[in-house]
Amino acid sequence: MPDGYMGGKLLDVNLSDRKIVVREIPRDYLDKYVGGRALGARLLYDNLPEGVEPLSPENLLFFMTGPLVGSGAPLSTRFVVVTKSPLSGGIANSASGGDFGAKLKNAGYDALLVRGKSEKPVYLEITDEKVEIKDAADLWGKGTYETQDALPKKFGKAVIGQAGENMVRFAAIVSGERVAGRGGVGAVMGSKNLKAVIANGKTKVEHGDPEGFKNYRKKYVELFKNHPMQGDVLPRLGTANIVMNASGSHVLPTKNFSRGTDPRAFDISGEHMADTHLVKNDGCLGCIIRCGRVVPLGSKNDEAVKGPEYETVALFGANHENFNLKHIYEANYVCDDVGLDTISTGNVIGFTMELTEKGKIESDLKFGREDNVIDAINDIAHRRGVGNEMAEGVKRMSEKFGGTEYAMHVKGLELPGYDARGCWGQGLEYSTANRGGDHVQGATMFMEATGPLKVDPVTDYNKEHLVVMQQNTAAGIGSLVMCIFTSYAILPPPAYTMNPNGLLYKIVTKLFLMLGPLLSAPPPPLVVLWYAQFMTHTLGKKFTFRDFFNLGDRTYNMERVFNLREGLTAADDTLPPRMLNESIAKGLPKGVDLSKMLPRLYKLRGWNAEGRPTDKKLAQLGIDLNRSPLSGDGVAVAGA
Amino acid sequence: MARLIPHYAMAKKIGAGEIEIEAGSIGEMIAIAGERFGVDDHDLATATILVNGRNINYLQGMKTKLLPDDEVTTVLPSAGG
Repeated sequence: MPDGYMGGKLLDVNLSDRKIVVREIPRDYLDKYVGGRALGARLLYDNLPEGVEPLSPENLLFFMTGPLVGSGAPLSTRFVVVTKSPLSGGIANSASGGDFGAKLKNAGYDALLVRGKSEKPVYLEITDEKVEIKDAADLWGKGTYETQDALPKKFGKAVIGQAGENMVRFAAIVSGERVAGRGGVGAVMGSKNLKAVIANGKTKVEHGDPEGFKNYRKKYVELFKNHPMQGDVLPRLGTANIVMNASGSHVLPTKNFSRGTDPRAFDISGEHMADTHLVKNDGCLGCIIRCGRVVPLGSKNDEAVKGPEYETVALFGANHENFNLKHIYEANYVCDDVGLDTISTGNVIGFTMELTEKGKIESDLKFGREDNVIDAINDIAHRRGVGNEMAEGVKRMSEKFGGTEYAMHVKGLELPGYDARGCWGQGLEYSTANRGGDHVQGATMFMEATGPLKVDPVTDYNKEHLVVMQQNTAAGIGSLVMCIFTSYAILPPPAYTMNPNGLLYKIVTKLFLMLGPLLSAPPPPLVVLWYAQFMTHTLGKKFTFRDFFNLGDRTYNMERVFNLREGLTAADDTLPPRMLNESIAKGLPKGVDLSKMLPRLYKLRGWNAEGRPTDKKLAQLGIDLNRSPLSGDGVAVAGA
Repeated sequence: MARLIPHYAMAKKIGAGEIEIEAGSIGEMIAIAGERFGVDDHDLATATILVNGRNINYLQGMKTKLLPDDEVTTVLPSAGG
């Protein structure tokens, strides 16, 4: 019976000896790990020898899909890249929209594994008839837009720019206008001399219960279109709708996280963008929200291009004390073109501005000065001058030049656009995030500062429950390979229209934290919400919301186990000293207090005092620590 | 005087991204903003109010006292990433 999978087929490409084979992912892995983050983490754990240098040929690069990818389930036309991160030395999982994931499935594969290193620059062309390693000499040195334009039309594409070629540790992989940005996945691709992967085919993704799928899809579209966030705020204002909220809540990184607010946030807000420059909104393939922005680019005679997300606005805007949206459009465009993660890039430039201000490094980067930021982006991508130092990321830079107390990263990954001093749960989430300082591995700030129901943001009371609930949900979504924005509709519309200064609101938010232990416990085994519904109709068998939650828990622990094996420890579960010790606002406590939250989270997760999942916890999740590498000759592929 | 930094729509209505108001409490500040700038219930229907970064729900609500150099912000629910 069809089940959304392409038979569990994994295309295994070794660029060193140019051997290409097809392997079958074991059925019990598909049942247990499903796809995306979880399956990628399991395959990486099984197949990557311990201690491999991330930018060496021995590292493995997985492009993962899942049963929902290409199935017609809205907000699931995505893919997840999984590898060992050159920033953290632990796991990198980076998701992207764009059509590459769906096209990879149309070519007949659920996953792609790239091993080894090509002698010369190459790209990989995958169809349902053959797979070829092709010469990329003419593409090497080109930006992501030009590269994609030069490749055959109708193919789904995943490419790197100059930053990936030069192994900038936070280089991204770009698909269309969407980006797998976090963790340095583009650097790993560049280290293999792999410029691009393109895929196309005619194989369709089929559902186990097509009628049920079709009927539920209609209800889901209706639900989202009528939701205050997915149906109104996000399409109208884009993700930069958060700017004013973040500033008002004192969580907007300002001047390299030395403040959390600035009245000039008005000028870089999503509302201001919509009022002044927005050409139209845009979205990933098959998306019904369409939160993407299209804006005019001054340097290209106001040509309409992809606009920035909240993160880019925060990190290139307030974090640099730059409140000029047009400049942020340019920075966003150039980062995408050279293939850089805008979060890490904005963060490292802000850090360099502070290092310069404090006389620890010589550069012409200054807070409030915007005219040389584009040059800095290009210098990073090409590893020129100070750009070569910045290309190593803030952790390594701070170890060389000083400033470790204000190097804003966790586990080597630069922090995004929320200062945890105004949302402690987010701080706990950052500190324990498997890929390091990142917000979409839980997004707890939504429940504390930015969303409609704000529990007390600066208490440690029951925060571990909130964080585990959020982390497991995000990990479940990442393993089904859906967009994290599907989660905003879990809160029904009345939650968004409740008066935050009324009695009912106070009762609800108080109860929410008090009921923490219920929130972090496995939910009833019911086929409720879109995650369970789409999975049930795609697989053709019951997949409950409890299965989804347990998948998230399994994902989280599988990634944790990988990190521990690669040498990360409980000591890495922390925040930058600035976030722990410095005051950000008169009304907020001085720094995030992790002292009680962290041990409570360990206990709740079933980890010992060293942050290691206990045997009991692993057995409960069905995680076997014995490695089971892909083996055998596999099946040869035409064209190889 | 305490500073009020309103959310976008309210700032447009007031005509400034930041205003100073002499008031002893949040309730008083909101009342004055209503009299002077026409701020009404609609503007605050889904707005959370913070004093120096702290949500007033976890202080004394509308009775939260204000000092001359306090900063008051209002924020609307948002989502994204």
